[in-house]
Order: sequence, then structure tokens, then C-alpha cells
Amino acid sequence: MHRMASADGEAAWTPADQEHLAACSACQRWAADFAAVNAELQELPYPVSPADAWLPISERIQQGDHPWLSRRLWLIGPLVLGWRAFQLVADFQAPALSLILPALAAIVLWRMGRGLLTIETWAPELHKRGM
Amino acid sequence: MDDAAAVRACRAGDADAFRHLVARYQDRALAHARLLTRNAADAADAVQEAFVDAFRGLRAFDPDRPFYAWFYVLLRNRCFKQMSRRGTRAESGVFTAPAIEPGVSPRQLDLWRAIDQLPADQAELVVLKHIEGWSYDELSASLGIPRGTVMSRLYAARQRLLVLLSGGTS
Repeated sequence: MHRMASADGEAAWTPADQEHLAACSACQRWAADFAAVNAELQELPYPVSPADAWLPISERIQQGDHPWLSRRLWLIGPLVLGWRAFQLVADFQAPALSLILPALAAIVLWRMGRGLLTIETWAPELHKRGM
Repeated sequence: MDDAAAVRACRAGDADAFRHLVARYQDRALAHARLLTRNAADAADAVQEAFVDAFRGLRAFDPDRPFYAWFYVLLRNRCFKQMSRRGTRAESGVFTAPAIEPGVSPRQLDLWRAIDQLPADQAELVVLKHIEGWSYDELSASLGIPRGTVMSRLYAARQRLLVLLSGGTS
């Protein structure tokens, strides 16, 4: 691996390595193949993307910083309205349950929404760098 | 417009300046994401999300540093997130459709196919080392792996690449 690092320009060739390379035909072949593939890789162009990525990205950027928040609220809003409608229609008379049940349902929906709707960034490298 | 100027313009409120960064890096980002996710749809989603992350995180980015090295960490995380969220839906040969590779010669397409047959961690290192020109130390810092691991994986990757290009199987 030291020879690979030397061939990559990341380490100096040691006299022993140079001596070995000069004498060993197998290593000479390896070094030639290695250099040829490296040269091809350095010239390798990236495939062209099938579509311009800018349009969907610009739409996402214009949505604001937390589109997931509004999407979660879209889930919880109808729940609150439905619950209130049920209370009025059924003449529901249990004040404690009137608070607890919708709160529990909201928590459950919020947590479900986390998995279904949000896209979060897991970036330990960035946290390590204080970004 | 260079990267630093585009980043500064975005920070000053010109969101349209981000278009320059997307145009400049979308091809390589998509290729890198394809190698990591092994799924064209997941890769496209990860690229889009990573660019959105980058736009939102531009204030934390130092414009005097290379944009793509910073962006790549975001992209990589998005790829892993995408894979863990959707489960593994690896496709074979994400670099095989000639219709979507107009800028690549047959020999170069063979090289991409060979890279595509490497394990994701090896393919990633080969591309970042040789096409992007990152040093062992930069690879180690960005990918969060020791320098010795970078070297051993690269060694294994290139040995396998030589076998694949000579017509063997990995």
C-alpha cells in the first residue's frame, strides 16, 4: 500500500521501493496498469443528468424553511375541526376528555407525520465541525 | 459567476444565484448519489434534497472553501437517509442506459460500469480520489474514516477495478 500511496503522489518513493520496482517485472506491470487506469479515471467525464434539477429545487426553496411543519398542521387542523364538530353534534359533556383526547391524537399524528412527511438531515460530520 | 460569488449572492438574498451552483454540480452529484444509493430515483431525490439543505445551510458555509467538498457531506447524508427510509431497492447497472449518457464514450461508459460494480464504499473513494482529485487526508476528514482505511479501501478498489476492466468478475 505504501507503493500505491507513492504512485498516487501521496508519499515519497523509498529507495528500497524504487530498487524493487526496477527489478520486479510483476510490480512493473502492476505499476503500468495502475498508472493507465488512474490516467483514464482522471479524464472520466460525469454522465450528463437526464433533467435540469433547478426547477424542483427552486420550488422547494420558495416553499420556505419548514414545509413539513405546514404539512403536519394540515393533518392536525382537520382533526381539531372534526373533534369540535363531534362535540357540538353529539353534545359531548366530558371536559377532561375534551382536552385529553384531541391532545393525544395530535401527538400521535405529529409523530406519525415525522416518519411520513419529514425529511431530516443527519449530518454528524457537520455537527463535529460546528456547522 | 464562480462558486464563492454565487454563495455570497445567495446569502445577500439572490436565491436565483443558487442556480449556478446547481447547474455546475448536478451531474457529478447525481453520479455520486447513484453510486451510493444504487437506485436512480433515490439518487435524484437525494440530490434534490441535498441542494435544498445546502441552500438553507449556506450561512454556515465559508465561501472561501470549496463548495463541493462541503456539499458532498450533505449529499452523502441524504443518500444514507434515503436508503434507510425506503429500504434497499438496489438496481443493477445504474450506468447502463445509453440514452442518458450522451456525453460519455463507450470506453468511458465501460469504466463507469466497472466502478458501478464496486461496493459503494470503494466506488465512492475511487471517484472522489481520481475524478475529484481529493487527497487521502481530505477523504479521511470528509468521510470520517482513518487514513489507513482510505488507503486499504482504495487499494482493494483499484485491484478489483483492474480485474473488472480486464474482463474478469469481482
